[in-house]
Amino acid sequence: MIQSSWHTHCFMVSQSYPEQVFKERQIMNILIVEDDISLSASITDAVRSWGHTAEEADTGKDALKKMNHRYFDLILLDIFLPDIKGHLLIPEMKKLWPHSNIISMTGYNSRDLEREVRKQGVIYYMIKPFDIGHLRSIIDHMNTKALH
Amino acid sequence: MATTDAASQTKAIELKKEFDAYRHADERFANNFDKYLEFIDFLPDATFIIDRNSRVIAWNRAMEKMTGVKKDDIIGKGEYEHAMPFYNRRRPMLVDLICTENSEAELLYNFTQRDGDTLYGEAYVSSVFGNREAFLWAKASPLYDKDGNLVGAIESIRDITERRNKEQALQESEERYRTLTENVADGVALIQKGKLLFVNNAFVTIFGYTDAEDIVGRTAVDLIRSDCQHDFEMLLAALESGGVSNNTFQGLSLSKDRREFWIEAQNNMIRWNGETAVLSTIRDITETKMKALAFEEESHRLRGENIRLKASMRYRWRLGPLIGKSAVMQEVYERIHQAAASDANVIIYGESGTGKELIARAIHEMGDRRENAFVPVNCGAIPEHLLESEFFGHKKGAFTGAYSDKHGYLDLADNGSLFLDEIGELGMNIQVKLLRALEGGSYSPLGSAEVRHSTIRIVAATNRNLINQVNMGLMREDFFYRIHVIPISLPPLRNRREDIPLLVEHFMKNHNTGTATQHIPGNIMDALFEYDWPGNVRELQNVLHRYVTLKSIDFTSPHSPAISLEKEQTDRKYDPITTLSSAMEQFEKKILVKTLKETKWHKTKAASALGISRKTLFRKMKAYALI
Repeated sequence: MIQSSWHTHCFMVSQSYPEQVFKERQIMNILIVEDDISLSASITDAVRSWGHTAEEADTGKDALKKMNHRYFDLILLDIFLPDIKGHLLIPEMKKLWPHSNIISMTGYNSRDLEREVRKQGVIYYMIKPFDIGHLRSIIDHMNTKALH
Repeated sequence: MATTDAASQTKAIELKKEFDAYRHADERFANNFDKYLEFIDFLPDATFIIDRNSRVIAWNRAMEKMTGVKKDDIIGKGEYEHAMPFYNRRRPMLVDLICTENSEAELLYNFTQRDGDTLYGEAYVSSVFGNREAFLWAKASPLYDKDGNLVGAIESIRDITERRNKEQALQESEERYRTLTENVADGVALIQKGKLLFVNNAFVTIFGYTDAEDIVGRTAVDLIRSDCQHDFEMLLAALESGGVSNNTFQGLSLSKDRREFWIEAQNNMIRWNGETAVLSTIRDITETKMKALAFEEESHRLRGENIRLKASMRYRWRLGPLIGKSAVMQEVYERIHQAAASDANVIIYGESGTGKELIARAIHEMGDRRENAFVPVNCGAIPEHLLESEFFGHKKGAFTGAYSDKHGYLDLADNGSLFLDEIGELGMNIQVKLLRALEGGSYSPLGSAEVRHSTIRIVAATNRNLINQVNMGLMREDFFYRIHVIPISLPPLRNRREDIPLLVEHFMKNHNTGTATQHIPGNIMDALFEYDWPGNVRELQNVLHRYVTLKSIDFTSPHSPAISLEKEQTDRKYDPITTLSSAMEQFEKKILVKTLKETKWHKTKAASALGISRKTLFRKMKAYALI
């Protein structure tokens, strides 16, 4: 993947995303596991701008290390990491934190890959490039549920 | 030289002599023509001779016998001058002669011309001799004089009625057999050297052809599906070598439009044109075969179910990943066995952390879909508008210009199980769409007109009361009934405390990496017993996990309510006592719990220690939610 073009394509901001106003907002801890640094940075910026905390990991090993130290409400997990296929990481993550929600991300997809990933249990299967509004609506949804 | 001349002279003289001899013979023949005519009297075939004027000049005895016309009545009478027997498309005058007035003569074969103007005639004639129907074969040839002039003709006739009758009888019997084979319902084929020599109409129809010409001459084995061809060839070879006990073949065949169907062929070895051949009668047995296969499958299923039921009857302390020997769990195990033996949709009710997903997986692993995917879905995790593409998939570019398709849950779980966790969270909109896909079996991915089919077993789970959801208008009734087919209720951990030691042992084993099983001190075990476990087994697992890593017990985790053992006990101590009866109740409960703890939840022992009946203990435990 070419970094520069990927960056511009990584996600699109949908024009019509309705701005939801919460009286209370629970701060979500989000881990972004992505080896494409510029995409990772863009997501981190967006997530922080919505009032949540974000950490980045660019390898599977790094991700597990970060998860050993703290709980994340949501993990954005790229499937094609330099050291491991993302879905092989999911059982390890669930062992540490069975409640963490995982969104998988991939630009390339096949039926077999999707089956292997979904079998591990992800809350959303994200095809890159994606609409950043979708990510926000998922986080907002988690927020609403946490408050009820 | 002189010798040569002498020799040639001698030769010339010899030639002259020979020539003279021929000439004399010829002259003698001409002179004795009348005498030669007499010779035909001795011919075995009925024969007569006519001159150029079509006058009969000879008429032999066989002729007299056959026709009943005497020689003297016909020779030289000139009654047949009009007849020109030796020309194409003319009847031989013989016919006129032998036909009685009311008979119908039929000329079956016309005169043929050979060698320029040299003419021979041959005819088959059917006629009536007196009262007898006769079929005649007639042959005639011209007569020439020594200068090559046509002087007349000679004709022989033979009565071939008998032969003709035999032929006809043969033809009729062949016709009968043909009619028979053409009209039987079974397909009939004659196979020689692997090729189809003859097929009947039924055979043609069975294989989906319209004309026998399309199949005759083809290799018979081509009509059999490739995996059955070997058996068929072996059978044919065995038949031809003789000594076959079973001459029946059952296998899958291919019709003209490549449709597969079951046939049964009865094969017999016969001789055809002096060589061995196989005569097959064929029936389409697809329907019977399908019934037999379905029956076999059903009996296999029943056998499996029987085994499973037998297994479920045994008292057990675990089922796959599920641990527990309590009576409530025995009931759960039995329900799991029942669900696994069926293909109906399952709904699992239970508080969070009771292991609903474990049960769903167990049902999948024990059922007939185990070879296919088990796909878990958390219905409540993402907003409804994103769920649609998750379930049905979307074509690339449908939303965002993505480069790849999303296949979706339904596609991936085809022939497998879809585990719909937190199904009570599913919005009405997606319920309608899902119901349609499950009932009709077809759906389309977003941004595509393609129609897909998936056969999916739904195993759903919820911690809500779905009937209430229906009553509140949050769940469609038809959707509820589609999901709620085999309900399984998982008890919360506080209702099966007697399983806690087993669970602790199990999780400690899991957490131990190679080292000896860690001992849980008595006071900690007591605490584990007494706690109410709102997060159920999962909470127990987390607590033990933390105990192993941090060597301390605390009942707080990010996802179980933040109640510590200390706090709960403190709370209990200072529960505001409002009435005497409530104080009594609290005291009674404490005594009960204490005694039960001491007896390791052995109810009979506890009852006798308290001096009450087992039944009373049971009633009281129920009242204080200790069961």
